[in-house]
Amino acid sequence: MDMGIVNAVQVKNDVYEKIDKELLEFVEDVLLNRCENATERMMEYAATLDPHSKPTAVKRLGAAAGDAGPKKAAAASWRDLPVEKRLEHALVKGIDEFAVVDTEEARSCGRYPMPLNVIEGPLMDGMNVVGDLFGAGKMFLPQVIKSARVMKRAVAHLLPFIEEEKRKAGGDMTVESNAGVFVIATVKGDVHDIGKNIVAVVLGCNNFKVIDLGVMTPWDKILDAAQEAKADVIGLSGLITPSLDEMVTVAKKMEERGMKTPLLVGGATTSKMHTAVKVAPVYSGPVVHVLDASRSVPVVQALVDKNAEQRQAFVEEVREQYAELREEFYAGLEDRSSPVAHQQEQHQQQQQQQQQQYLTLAQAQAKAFKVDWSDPVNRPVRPALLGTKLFENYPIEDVVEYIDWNPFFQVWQLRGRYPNRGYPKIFNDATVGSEAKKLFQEAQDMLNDFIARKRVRLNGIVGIYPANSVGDDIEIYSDDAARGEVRARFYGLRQQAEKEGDEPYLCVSDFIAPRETDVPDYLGAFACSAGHGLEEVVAEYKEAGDDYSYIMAEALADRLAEAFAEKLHELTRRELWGYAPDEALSVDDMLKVKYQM
Amino acid sequence: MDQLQGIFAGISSATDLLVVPTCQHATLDLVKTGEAVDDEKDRLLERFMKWAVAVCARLLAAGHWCDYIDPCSGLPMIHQESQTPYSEVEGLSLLLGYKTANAGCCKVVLHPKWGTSVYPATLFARAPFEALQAAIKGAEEHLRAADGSGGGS
Repeated sequence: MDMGIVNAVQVKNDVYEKIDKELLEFVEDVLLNRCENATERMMEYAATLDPHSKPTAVKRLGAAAGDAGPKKAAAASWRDLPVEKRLEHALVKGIDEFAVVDTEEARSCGRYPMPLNVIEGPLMDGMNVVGDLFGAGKMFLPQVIKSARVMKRAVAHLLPFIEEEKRKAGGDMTVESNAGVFVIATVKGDVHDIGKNIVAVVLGCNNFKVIDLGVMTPWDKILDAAQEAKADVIGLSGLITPSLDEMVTVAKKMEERGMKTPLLVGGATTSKMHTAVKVAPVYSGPVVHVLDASRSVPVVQALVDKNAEQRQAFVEEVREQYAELREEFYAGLEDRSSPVAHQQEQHQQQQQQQQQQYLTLAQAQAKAFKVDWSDPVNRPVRPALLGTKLFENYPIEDVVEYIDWNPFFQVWQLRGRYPNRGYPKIFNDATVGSEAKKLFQEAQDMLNDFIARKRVRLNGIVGIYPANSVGDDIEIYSDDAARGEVRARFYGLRQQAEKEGDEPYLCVSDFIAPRETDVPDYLGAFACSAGHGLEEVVAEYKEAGDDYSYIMAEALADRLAEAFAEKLHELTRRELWGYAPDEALSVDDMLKVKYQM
Repeated sequence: MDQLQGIFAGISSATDLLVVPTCQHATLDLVKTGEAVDDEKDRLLERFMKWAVAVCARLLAAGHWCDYIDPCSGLPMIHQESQTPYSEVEGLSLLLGYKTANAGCCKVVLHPKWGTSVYPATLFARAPFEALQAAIKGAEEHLRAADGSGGGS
């Protein structure tokens, strides 16, 4: 051999010691030039092999039925393991095919006197393995949610037997068949729930009974439900900033009602610091900030620990930690010695002296964003469409290419390390790449299902109206030419918080020509949804105990709604209004907001 | 500490662990959106990566444990077993007492001088302080020589 090209990664993967010995002989004959016809012999040998087989697991072409090949052999062998190990394997791999059969075997094998013991024993052992792998970064969220599917199948099979036992025991319904009751809700004013749903699924498959109150839940509904269900823990979720205040309110109300139930706080907008400084002080029961679904399990388990001492120790530990955080927070405001705090304090003092300065409305209006409406470049383009246009049942196929997949991977907690962050580079990430590919493929399959069976519908409406601004308001007219009758009025809020420098104080009305300029201007708006039919789809999956699919459906509908919005906006720019008819942007550019505004 | 254990599987205690949060002054307010902001973030990302790689190379060569966080994913770059992210915002607020604010659904850190025109990124090392200083000095000299522009944050 005169020259060779080496694939370094492949060399690492094909461990030398494990290379098939026969193959190695042929190859080394060539490399080491051990015999004259080494090349021909190697090529002859190669011709007898299955080209897909690995050097470490060589397979011959047209292998006899008996020789199933190493992969099949491994695949079959897990079925030979003891039933406990089979259940563990099924949970870890998310294989629900044999869940019922294996669970039944466990139930009737004699080692578990009560069906409940099967849950507390092999099933929970399996889930703990899942939990450990998840925590160690060896399993990812999509796989964990698939494990939930298996767990649900197994538990669903056992439920009738558990009920029967309860009846036989004289209807002693107080015997709990779960590890604890967890009430979870997204707080009032907030509609985000995919994260919360994931927490519910993860806790559910760890044998907690989860009562999910949904989104926009007022504090009284949360507390009433918790008290009625005798909840062991209450969990609050929130994504937007106002939800932080709402969580403080819930905590205050819990204190007022004299509750002692532990309160968990989570969601993108929350933080340990905020929880320690704002939420914990207003409630005497335990308050714990939880970063994400995976972290929720050990926290809830600690809070329902039957060992009162350990439970108390955990609560105390958190309390102390939060007390320290509060001290540091307040000390940071007062401490004059640290240079950083000093700078912060100066800034703070400035702010306090000026007390969050706001301009008066008149002052802000004087600094409005000024547009020269006489300049032809600012002449509003007359829209092609005046009035509304309805888009009913908009084809999903036409919207799929506008999907921004980045938030999708974020929801499923798959993160690519530099430089493989974001879609589609995430597929190249060494750790999460293959999981991301699998997830993406499953998303495509579900999208195709949506399309084929028209399960989820996209409806939208675009409206463009003659408009002019009057002060900070925008008037909408019935008639373009006359502009006499005002159909509707939008009340604009002007920025009044003091800005540095000469920046204008904006109001949305600044962007519509004032009435007095006699320049005919227009206002456009649209509303769209990809949620029509989603409820039925989600209900069906939940009915079948398939949490993975229901969360996937929600995540996809979320993406479709945003993609549909991109599409509608593009249609508006190019056709319906038509102020950028020659626009030819890529979806990538659209997501970067490179279009004309 | 319990959080760090989740992020760095190999750590058994927080003693002797140096946390090196870095902040770079951005030319724009990074809370805003747009291509200019994205480009600036990329520039600062690359700058941190070069710096962190150089510092860690020296620390590792001297036999010390170290790692640095990818600002985009929050994941450690050297020890890749864990998928638990480190929150820069949480870190800066807990360790340095920086204020934080909410921008949309994200938390951002408010630098005492630079406000939201800041790019935070953290490096971790288990090494004597002098060793860290030497590594940083060596790295910055090397980088300065390499591209002739000023380093530091």
